[in-house]
Amino acid sequence: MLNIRNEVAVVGTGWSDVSRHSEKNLSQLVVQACGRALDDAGLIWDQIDGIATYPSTAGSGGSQEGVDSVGIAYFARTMGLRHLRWYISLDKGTVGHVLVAVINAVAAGASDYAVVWKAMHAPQGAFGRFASSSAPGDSQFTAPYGLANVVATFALPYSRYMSLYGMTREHMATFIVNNRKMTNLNPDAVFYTRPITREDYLNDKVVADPISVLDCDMPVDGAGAMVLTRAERAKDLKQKPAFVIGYSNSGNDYVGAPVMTLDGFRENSDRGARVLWENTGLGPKDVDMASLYDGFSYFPLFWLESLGFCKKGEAFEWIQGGRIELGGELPLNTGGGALGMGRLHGMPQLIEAVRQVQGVAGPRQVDGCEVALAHVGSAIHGSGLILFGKEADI
Amino acid sequence: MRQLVRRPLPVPSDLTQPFWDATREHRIVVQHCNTCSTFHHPPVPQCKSCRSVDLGWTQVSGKGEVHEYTIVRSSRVQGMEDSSYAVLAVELDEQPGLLLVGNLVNAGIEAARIGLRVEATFEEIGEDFVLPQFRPAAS
Repeated sequence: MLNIRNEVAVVGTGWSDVSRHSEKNLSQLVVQACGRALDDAGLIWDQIDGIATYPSTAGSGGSQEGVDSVGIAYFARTMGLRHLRWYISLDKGTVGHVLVAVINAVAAGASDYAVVWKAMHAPQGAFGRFASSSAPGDSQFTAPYGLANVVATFALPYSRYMSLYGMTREHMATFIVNNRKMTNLNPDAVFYTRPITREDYLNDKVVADPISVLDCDMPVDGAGAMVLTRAERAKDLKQKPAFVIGYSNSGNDYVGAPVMTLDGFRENSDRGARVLWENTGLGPKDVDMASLYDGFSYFPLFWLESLGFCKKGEAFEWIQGGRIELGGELPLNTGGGALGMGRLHGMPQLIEAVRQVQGVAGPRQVDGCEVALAHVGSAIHGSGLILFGKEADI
Repeated sequence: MRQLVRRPLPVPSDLTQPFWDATREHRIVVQHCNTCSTFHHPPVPQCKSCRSVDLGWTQVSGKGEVHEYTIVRSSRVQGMEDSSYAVLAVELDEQPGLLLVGNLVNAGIEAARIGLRVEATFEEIGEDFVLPQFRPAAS
């Protein structure tokens, strides 16, 4: 069992303006997000003494600080922080891994008020382009065959799942439509004002079978931020705290194959889920709402199975009939996730889970939400699972 | 399948060079642990099963079945933008979970399906490389 329950809380969250291509540069969006998170908590910039991020960029070229990436060195220098004593930057696992590190640091007293942000810039041109005439490293066994497109790579485990269990795009349409319905209740979401129908999804353009455009999160310019502190300090602040119950990590394991596989995904997601429940002593029945990473639409289905909400091979049927809707058995991705909010590498999942236990999700609020689960990242490339709770004495 | 032009060329390392040397001779070899007989692809510095560093290379039949696949309809790979093509991950008969990637050749892309039996064939690309590919098995 993990020794961390109710020691740390998220006390503020904030989004920048998010759009397909912003007129503001990325550092200005980070200022917006962090400023709003601090306001939410009733804190000021000078109180920040710990900072953390996952500074990935969407493109494959070198990154330009302040333009397509905002890393910790740039942040510390430009935000004029005078009291920094702890910081971390991770290159694996999205914001999920980073948040776990922040939780540990705050619990240990290494930082009193820590800010974690994720900034993403949408480069001009087509996403995921492999623009090279040579294929080094692991790509030598895949890129010469035209398997370098991110979408094609991630399509492989999903193609096997659909074939094994008889899933069709009709099944997935239910998830897509419900997700967009939730998005249309979230003013922070890039697709807030854009509804879609089952027909829109079923007629959607296929990129690499079985994945179509609406199965992928859209690159955007935006940033999200959260502020964390120790539980005893949290109670005195402006916003209701979301207490950290516990967490686990998964991933960084291709399980021996040159490509992603269904078995490889499951080996990692099963382990991440098992460790989460062991670490916290809780289980699926204790969860009131789940935010499951949806960079690709099939991820939440695979994770529902690994987490034990349903059996292997059942998720595409389990999500039918209203189970994942707002009033259902397990409201899922109530903020619209990445599909609704844009490609923001895990912040949509985290911030929505926090806001649900804080009770500030407005029209998307799950009644009596006491425990929210956030999964962030890719099972194979690295992810974090975090449970948030409303009351400190859960 | 339409001819794909200007494929990205492999950049072999010390570990992977034997694979590409063999394909030039129209053979497929896979790294093989001399201690416990486990195959590894891509090759590794120590056996994942028994930690032995006594690793060799063994020729395989090139036969297997499609484990996963996708049909790329909107390519992002430089030099391959105009094509639609099937990419297969083939589970070789020699070991469960031993996967080799290839395109489906000698068949329309719609022939691709999980469970399809395939066999290796070889495609020369550039001056220095031969790629293993997969066609539907004869029988």
